[in-house]
Amino acid sequence: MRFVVRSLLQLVLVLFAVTFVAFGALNYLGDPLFNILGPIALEESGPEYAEVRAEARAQFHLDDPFPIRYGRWVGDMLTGDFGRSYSNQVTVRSILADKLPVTVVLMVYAQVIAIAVSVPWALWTASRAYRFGDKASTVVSFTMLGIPVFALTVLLFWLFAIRWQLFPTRYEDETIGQRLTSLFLPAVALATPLIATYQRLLRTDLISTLQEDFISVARAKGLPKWYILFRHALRPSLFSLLTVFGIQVASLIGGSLVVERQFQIPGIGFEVVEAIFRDDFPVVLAVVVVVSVAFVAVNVLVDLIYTFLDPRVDFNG
Amino acid sequence: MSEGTPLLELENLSITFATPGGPVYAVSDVSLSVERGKALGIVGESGSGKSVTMKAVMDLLPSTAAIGGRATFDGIDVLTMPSSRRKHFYGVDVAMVFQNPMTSLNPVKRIDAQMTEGMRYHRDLSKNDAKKRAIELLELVRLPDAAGRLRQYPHELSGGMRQRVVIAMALANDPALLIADEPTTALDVTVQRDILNLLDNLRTDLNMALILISHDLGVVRDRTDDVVVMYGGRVMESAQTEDLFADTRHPYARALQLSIPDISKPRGQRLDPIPGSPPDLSSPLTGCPFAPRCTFAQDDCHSTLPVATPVGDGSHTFSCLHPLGQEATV
Repeated sequence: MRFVVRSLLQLVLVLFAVTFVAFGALNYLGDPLFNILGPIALEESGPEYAEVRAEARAQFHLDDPFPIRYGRWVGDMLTGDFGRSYSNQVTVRSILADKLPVTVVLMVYAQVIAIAVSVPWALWTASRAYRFGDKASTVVSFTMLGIPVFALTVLLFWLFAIRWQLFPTRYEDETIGQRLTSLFLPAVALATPLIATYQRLLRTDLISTLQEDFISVARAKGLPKWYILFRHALRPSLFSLLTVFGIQVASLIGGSLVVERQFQIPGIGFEVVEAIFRDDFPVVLAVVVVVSVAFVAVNVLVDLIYTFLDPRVDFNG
Repeated sequence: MSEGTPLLELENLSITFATPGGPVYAVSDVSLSVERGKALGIVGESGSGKSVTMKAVMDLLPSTAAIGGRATFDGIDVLTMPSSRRKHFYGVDVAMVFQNPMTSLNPVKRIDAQMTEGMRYHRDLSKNDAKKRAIELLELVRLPDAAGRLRQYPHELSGGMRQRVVIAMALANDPALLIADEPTTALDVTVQRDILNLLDNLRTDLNMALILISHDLGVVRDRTDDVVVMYGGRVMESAQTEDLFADTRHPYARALQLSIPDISKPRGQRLDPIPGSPPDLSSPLTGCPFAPRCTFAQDDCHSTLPVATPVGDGSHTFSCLHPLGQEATV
């Protein structure tokens, strides 16, 4: 019970802090009126449009003081109303419903790839720590960490989509198969730094777990090497990996802004970049909320998994 | 030692660790043996090589260790065993109990999983049969509420209870030899004797050989048939336990005896600690390893390596140039 209360409290605090900062910052970034009305929003377009401008300002409450606008936005948000996009008057909710699933699939995809590659790789390197295969792996993983995502995206796209034509050059989503094929290269681009991070962390933790007495006990029982690695060493070694897994949700969202644009994927990352450029505050704010909720939710989940990984972790501690 | 063929026999075993600072000669020229159903004590202070010797037998040394000499179990060379024999050797023929029960169990696995995995792997027991056997074993080591313990995690048990679990686990496949490496050092004094007596009883009941490693001659005294005293990676004295106490030859073995607290002595009497600290093993020794700390040492002790010298029928040997006692058959 204490755990639930604490998680909810955490969610409320994070949401408040993040939206407050975002709302305040956007407020000083530009005037959304141009976006709503087009060229007539400018004073130079003549006094005959002054009335239209005043009307629009009133309709979108652009002249109200900051605390009132923020309060109104929070109130609407709590009822699930994120307002309408300034540019085309579409409800933000329908934009989210339309774009969010693609991005969620992309992120889950990237995390699945990252875990599927990094865990076996870390087990392999830890079992031969400081030998050639391990040292070579260190070089490879640091290279993976060092490549910027935008450069990797270009490289992957050119090699696999254009040169070898193994993957489509444009996003297709009529079938699940098409969707997964289209998202494969972007997911790999997002997963690459994660694979390296997870591999480094898990390898280090595995090496120290393998020094533990209970590993000697398991070896003295005559259990095979693979069994000891998977059934004794892996689970107690997953803590750092899990912690970072939760935190990486934020950087994945950052990465999706780049990757979705470069691969022309109609996801929320693509959408939010557009929205920022056209001062479409309701869209940007809604995405900020979604990201914060996702971040807190994943980290609450991570806390829950801790208790599964180690029975000594107190659920309500 | 006494009659019969040995179950485990080490002949001139040497262990060298490669370290960045050069080789460390952890164990040199150690020979010892234990017969079926008998108990052997290996005694020495920290760094004397007693644990390392047994870890070599159990194949638990890191890859930096180079092992020389021979180790045979029931006539088979342990160090060069074919992998088909190895597969069901550790945990079946030989089992080991470690020093610290608090870290010997995997903290994230339930007791039943840890107890049954060895039986299921080596003997292909069904889950249910393995569980029944686990309960029997926990009752054998006299852990109260054996069936209930199976669903618990190690942290829910006390140190003494955990050591009982570790011992029960080691007994899972009826080993012919149990190696107990300082099994009570990490436990409360009141629990220590219970665990030692338990090991003693199990050995007799199960007709199992026991190697009891300890830094305390007092622990070994009433519970073993033979004793090997080690120092600086070498055997100093080796004898039947009563002989070692009745007719001590090596000054180090004597010094160890004098450092045992004796409850029958009057209060206030001081113990005799051994001055100095164990030798640096990073260069091969030219003389007796104990010479720098020995009150009986003479000049030749520093330059001549003593060899194992028999007393009487040869079951009692010592490695000392100037032994205690007069009737030495030098």
